[in-house]
Amino acid sequence: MEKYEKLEKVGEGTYGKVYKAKDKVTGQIVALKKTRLEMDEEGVPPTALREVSLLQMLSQSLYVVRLLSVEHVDANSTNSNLDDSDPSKRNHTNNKSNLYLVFEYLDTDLKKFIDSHRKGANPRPLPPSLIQSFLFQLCKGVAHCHSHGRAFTVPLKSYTHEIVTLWYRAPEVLLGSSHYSTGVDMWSVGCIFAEMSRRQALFPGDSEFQQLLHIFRLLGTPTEEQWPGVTALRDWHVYPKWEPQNLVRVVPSLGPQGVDLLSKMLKYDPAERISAKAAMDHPYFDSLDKSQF
Amino acid sequence: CGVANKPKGQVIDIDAADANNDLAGVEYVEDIYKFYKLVENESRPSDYMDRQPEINEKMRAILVDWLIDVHHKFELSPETLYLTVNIIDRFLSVKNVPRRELQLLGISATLMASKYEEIWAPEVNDLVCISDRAYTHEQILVMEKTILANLEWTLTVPTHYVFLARFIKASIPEKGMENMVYFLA
Repeated sequence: MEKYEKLEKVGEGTYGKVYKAKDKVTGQIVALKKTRLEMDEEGVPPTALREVSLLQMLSQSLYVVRLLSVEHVDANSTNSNLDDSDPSKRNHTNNKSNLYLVFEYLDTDLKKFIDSHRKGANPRPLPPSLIQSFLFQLCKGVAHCHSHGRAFTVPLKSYTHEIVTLWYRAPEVLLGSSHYSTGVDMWSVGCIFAEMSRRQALFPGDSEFQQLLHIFRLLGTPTEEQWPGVTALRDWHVYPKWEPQNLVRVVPSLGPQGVDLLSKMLKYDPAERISAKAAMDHPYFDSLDKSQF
Repeated sequence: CGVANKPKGQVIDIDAADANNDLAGVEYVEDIYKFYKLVENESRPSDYMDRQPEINEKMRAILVDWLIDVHHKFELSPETLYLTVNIIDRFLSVKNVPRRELQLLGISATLMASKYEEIWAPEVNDLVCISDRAYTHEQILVMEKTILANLEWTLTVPTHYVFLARFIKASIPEKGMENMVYFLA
């Protein structure tokens, strides 16, 4: 990691820290995502293995942040090597180690961009044409991921259910479904679509239970007719019966086509939810010049 | 080769039955396989045996047979087995491995493939036991890191399995034949 000079810290999360840094030789500006790897008895955690490997493949797209390299550094900085027969260097268990993901540097992100329109000296809505353009690019990126497989397999297998930031988590995941699919991402896209228009989160729950109640209060408590099988999901309970609200009330500036597309992204039954590919052909994008993307 | 000239009418949509099953990913299945085909060569191991000073085809065959046993003992999925062998072959394509470490490579590859594919991967200590303590816990983990560094963390590859699964779906819907195909591969 001596290759890079850290310039400033640009982000911090539960996973670790993100730095803006400069390649000392080429001068290239990069983002260094430093993840503490809890190397326990079992070695590299499966989550890290999958995330990095999938990112390696997906980041070849223009619409996915580019991963330039991966560096796995031990805290005591021994680099393991096959020919390395020195037994003192083999004592690795329980060592802390860091995983550095070297990304292309991007000077902002959607969250910061929305924040800049919500607070500060000049709060103002995002222009509708910009929301339209951002959403199209988002769909394009998601469609890329879904059509490159292995973010899921065909046919899909069951996975663990702790995925996706709470506010953007699909109801089937919150209700403990073990077989979920590309629809979970479209739910997230819908939440982000609404958030661009509102400049605040659509469903800002602070626990899994509260998250479901936020969703049910707006979209109505789901029924078996709407979503066959919902009451058989692992974490289904008897909830208060809320009636669906009109979506226009929460995203008044989206216009009828925008609201229609949003409602298709927020369908309860994952099988009914619009795909990223189909969303790109929705009439909401008719006025967009798609050739630029 | 004449495939392109085949009249369109003869092509049966093998995914029609799954059109309403969102877990089958029907909408994206063609794109996914187009992509698998595109990157197939990038993840294909090279013909490395001539360059390996200490190992040969026979040893690899013995290793794979043993790994299949291991795989059955832990009740792992078929994807895991194919990925394990893919990891081994790709690693041997870029690194020379001494004979006494070939089995170690196999164990660590099994560990990594399981972590990638399975919901519950076998524990390292179980792998130590199943290999009759030929290698230590530490050695397995060091090898895991070495493999990851050399393969640049790329485990998302189309193995034989993904193509076979598709070909089988497109051909004979019969269980005995399906098992035979996976066995031969």
